[in-house]
Amino acid sequence: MSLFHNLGLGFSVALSAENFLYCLIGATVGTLVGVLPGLGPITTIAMLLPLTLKMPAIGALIMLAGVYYGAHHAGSTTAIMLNMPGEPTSVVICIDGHPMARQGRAGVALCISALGSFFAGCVGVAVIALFAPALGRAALAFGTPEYAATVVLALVVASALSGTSLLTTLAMAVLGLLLGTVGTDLNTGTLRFNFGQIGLAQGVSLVAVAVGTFAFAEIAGRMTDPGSAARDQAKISSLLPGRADLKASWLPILRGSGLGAAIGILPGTGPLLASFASYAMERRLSRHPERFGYGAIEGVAGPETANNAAAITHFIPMLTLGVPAGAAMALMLGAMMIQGIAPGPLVMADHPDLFWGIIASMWIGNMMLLVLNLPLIGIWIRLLTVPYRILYPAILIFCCIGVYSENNSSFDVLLAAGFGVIGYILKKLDCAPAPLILGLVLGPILEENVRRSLLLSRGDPLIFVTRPISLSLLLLAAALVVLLTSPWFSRRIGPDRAAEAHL
Amino acid sequence: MAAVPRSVWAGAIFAIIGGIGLTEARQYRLGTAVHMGPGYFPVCLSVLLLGLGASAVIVGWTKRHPDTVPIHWEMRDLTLLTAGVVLFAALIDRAGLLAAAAGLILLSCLMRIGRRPVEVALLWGLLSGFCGIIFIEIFGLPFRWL
Repeated sequence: MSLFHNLGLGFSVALSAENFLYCLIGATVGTLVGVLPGLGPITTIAMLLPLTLKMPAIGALIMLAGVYYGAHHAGSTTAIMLNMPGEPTSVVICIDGHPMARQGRAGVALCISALGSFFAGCVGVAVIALFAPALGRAALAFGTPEYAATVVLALVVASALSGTSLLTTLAMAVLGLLLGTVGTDLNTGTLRFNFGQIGLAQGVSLVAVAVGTFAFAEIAGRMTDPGSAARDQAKISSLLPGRADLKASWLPILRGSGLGAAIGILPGTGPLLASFASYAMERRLSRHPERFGYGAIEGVAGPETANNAAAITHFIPMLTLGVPAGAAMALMLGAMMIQGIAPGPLVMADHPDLFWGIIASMWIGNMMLLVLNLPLIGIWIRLLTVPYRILYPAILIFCCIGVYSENNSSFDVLLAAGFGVIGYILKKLDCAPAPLILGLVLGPILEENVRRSLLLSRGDPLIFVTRPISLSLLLLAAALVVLLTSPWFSRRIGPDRAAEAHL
Repeated sequence: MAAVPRSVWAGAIFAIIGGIGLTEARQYRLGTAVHMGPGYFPVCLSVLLLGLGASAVIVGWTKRHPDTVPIHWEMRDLTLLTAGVVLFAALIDRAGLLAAAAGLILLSCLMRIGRRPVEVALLWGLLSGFCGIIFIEIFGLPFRWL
């Protein structure tokens, strides 16, 4: 009964004219960045984050959430039409989606992926609504060692997933943690790593680091690309899938939703792993695995569904524990803190309108995406013809203004320029920036929880392995690392190198 | 040097940052595990970073492979982009949005060869006008047009 009461509250919040508008803006912007290659949800959320200062907390989070799942929803469009993933998570959709398009079945692929995404969105929202309160209650039993272990789990798994060498991606995460210690130590007031800069007393600006490492580094390395001119573009004939297509798709869609929703909850994983895992699963389960790669509809339906289910359930650790599961969620957490909301298990109890409003808005947002993606597909395809030479100066100026306006500080813009250079160099050395962002946000959380745990145990580090929940979280982290870095995994499911470079 | 894998260079960078972090963090009070001082956590992280970086160098060095693809550095683009952003930072407080945007857009447009001056001027006019209306007039952010 309380579930319906809560959902009722959520829908009454999300359906208010103002929040409905924010949701629409978020979903539209998300679709836009999802379609445009070279502009991802992380850069966009970083750019928009400072603007949300002027917005009410609920509206701000509804809008940013819309950008995130909207981008994941729309990334498949370009993958199918142009063989060019709009988001890294859509790399798998290219494998079978584009061959379908070349066989004149682009409309069917788009329709199935839109329907599958919508279904996955519904499943994801249902999973959050059903399980988040239970998880939130369980989280109240979390002590500081459990929080520290959750943070370690998120960091280690995100690192294992995002690069060629675990040593260097782990180092990226540790570098992020170290950056998180910059500024005033909250317990003693000591200034750490500020190197005489007043601008660093408040710590390193998350927006500056995100914009530098994601947007600037990406743009500097992109000029030699062939550009985003529509190449290899397929025609849309009929949008409606036939009976055979639906028959072949409904099971992959069901399986993809379940798999994606389950993977999304795990801190550190996310939509990318979900889509790859689903593709591998569909190929294994198929009676005709040889059709995969040549336009098998299951290869579109499964991964695209899993991707979207994971994009929704990805919010769960952030909303219930206050531990973001990925770089984009780290930025969402930043947005929450800017609004003065302390993240953690109490958000659900103290701000039920916010918590349930966001969840309800996700369902409404998924409805909007269905409308935005299917009938309006032609508009988005036409947007792809906007050349990158026009696009990147626009991204640059939005980024600069966004970084500046977070603290009205031109120092932060300089910082972003510096992180652009560092991010560019590290990117060239195959170090993906996502673990760095995650580390930066999780750094203070980890330090505080380790400090309190050790105070509790009188300095005995065994506290992290003698408590059952903490131990199982750490074991889970170790097991996932072994699995994700094993040659078996990278041969079967491992994201290909192109996807990793963009993560 | 094409034979050296990227992880060696990356490891070296991480090890150097870890070293700098360690030197700096040792100046803060370390404290004990029970009562962690401001230096405790940074020292641990710096040592960890140093260790991970050094291991990456060693592992990468032993796995050297003659056909590692050399890295293609876009130095010109990176310099222009960074200079543009620095110019924006220098001008936004002193000379306002229009000047800062002009610096940023002019320098970043040099990244693509073969642009016409008209195109650059149009981009500057449209983008700074659009941003000014949205951010100054609608959102009321505290920077000026001029």
